[in-house]
Amino acid sequence: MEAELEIPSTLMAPPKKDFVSLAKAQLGFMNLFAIPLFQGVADIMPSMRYTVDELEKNKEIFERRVSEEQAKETPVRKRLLAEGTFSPRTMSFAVDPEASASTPKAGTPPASATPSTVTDGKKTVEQEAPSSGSEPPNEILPNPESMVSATPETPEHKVNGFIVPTSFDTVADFAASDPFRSHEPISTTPEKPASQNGKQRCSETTEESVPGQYHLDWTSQATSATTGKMPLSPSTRGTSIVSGESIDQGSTTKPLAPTSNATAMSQTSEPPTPNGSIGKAGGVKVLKKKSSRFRMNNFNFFRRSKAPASPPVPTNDTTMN
Amino acid sequence: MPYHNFRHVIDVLQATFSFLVQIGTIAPYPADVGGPTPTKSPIAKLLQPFDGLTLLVTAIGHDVGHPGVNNGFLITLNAPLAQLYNDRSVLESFHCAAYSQILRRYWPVAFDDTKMRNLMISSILATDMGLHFDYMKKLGDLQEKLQVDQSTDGWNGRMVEEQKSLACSLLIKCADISNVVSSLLRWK
Repeated sequence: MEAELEIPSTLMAPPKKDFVSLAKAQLGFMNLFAIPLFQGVADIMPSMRYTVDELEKNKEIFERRVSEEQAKETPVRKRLLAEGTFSPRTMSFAVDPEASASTPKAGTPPASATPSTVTDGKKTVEQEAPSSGSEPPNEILPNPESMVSATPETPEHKVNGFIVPTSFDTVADFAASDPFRSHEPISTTPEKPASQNGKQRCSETTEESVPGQYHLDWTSQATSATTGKMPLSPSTRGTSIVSGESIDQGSTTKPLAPTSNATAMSQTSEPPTPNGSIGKAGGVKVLKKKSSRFRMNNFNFFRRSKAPASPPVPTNDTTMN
Repeated sequence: MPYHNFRHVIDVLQATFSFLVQIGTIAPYPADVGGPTPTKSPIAKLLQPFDGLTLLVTAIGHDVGHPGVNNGFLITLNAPLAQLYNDRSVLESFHCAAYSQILRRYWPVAFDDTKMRNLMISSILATDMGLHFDYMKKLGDLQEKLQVDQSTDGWNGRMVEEQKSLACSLLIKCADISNVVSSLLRWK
């Protein structure tokens, strides 16, 4: 619903469909809320002790299942870590933007390579976990693989990395904090990121409706105060953000960024900023650290007026500069 | 995943009933199943069958008219409901008010009973998870008090009422999240 309304999701932990995430969420919920509550109540009303026992039992069941599932997935993850240039600090796969953006063709050979790796991943995973567990690991593979293979040199650019919600406002955000799962629901179409790269992404986002972006990117919603608020921010801010990103992306996307901005500005309802950010989400997760500093400003704007064309430009500029 | 629906109500109702029977406020059902009569804890002694009835009624209606979104969402959106309730326990206030209206229409006796209504209101409002930690603190205080006293004999009338209300709130809270403690085999 938030997607339709174009505001950030207020869910503390965006719902993920795979079992392990769900299980972990349940575990966390149990540990955080249920166990203290029931233990306290059992303390003052001893007859309620049976609930605590049941809780403990269920917790064990969950923990066992989670460790089982994780054991299956660890080999996949280790491979990614080893092959990819996984930066533990930013929790992102560092990618050279120019190398990736300048040659969409470079993207294509990896695209052809990825299907094989995908099948590899599929095979290994399917042998072990025919259930929903097979899906997420598959999604892990195409993106990092394509990213990595597309960029032999890997300086520390965070453009085409993976989104990590780095700020958690509530305790319950831990469920979303698992870095390894954060890039899972990146794209439902593995072939996209490799082939389309920067070019297509921008054009996609200018045309696609907003809800599309949210389908692809659950964790970004955790930091999506900015993502969601972007639609309401004036075009100047949006431009600056997009151009910032487009600079990082290199020459190929640059001509498109203004174009997308122009199209977006003409629409007024679909400002450029989400396009830039969503374009990435469409293909690859982007490290959203950059936009987080705008969060409070965007939030205020939203509160002030719901009209997207609110012109708090001066404030923008001060924060921008 | 749609959650606040009929099934949730049944779960909570069942859980509440189970708790109430367990602590001895309500007689077990079926009544002929003989078990040892549980010795009531001091707190459990506070709860009369009337309170038990109130709790059951509360359990049914504690999520009436749930729109499928949570409080944070409504507040962020400046929804009319949030504005009406000043961003405080928005959903729970709404559930309470809506349920009261239903009772007024269909069960006037329950609606007219002030005590029951009071207890019901405070219990429904207690289901706001945003206030969860407040209730945990109150629970801690109660625990401490009981460690000192071991009984509620020395309590004055107001304290009794307060703690009774707290006990009811806690039971409802437990029932509300009891779905996760009852059986996790459902997930499989």
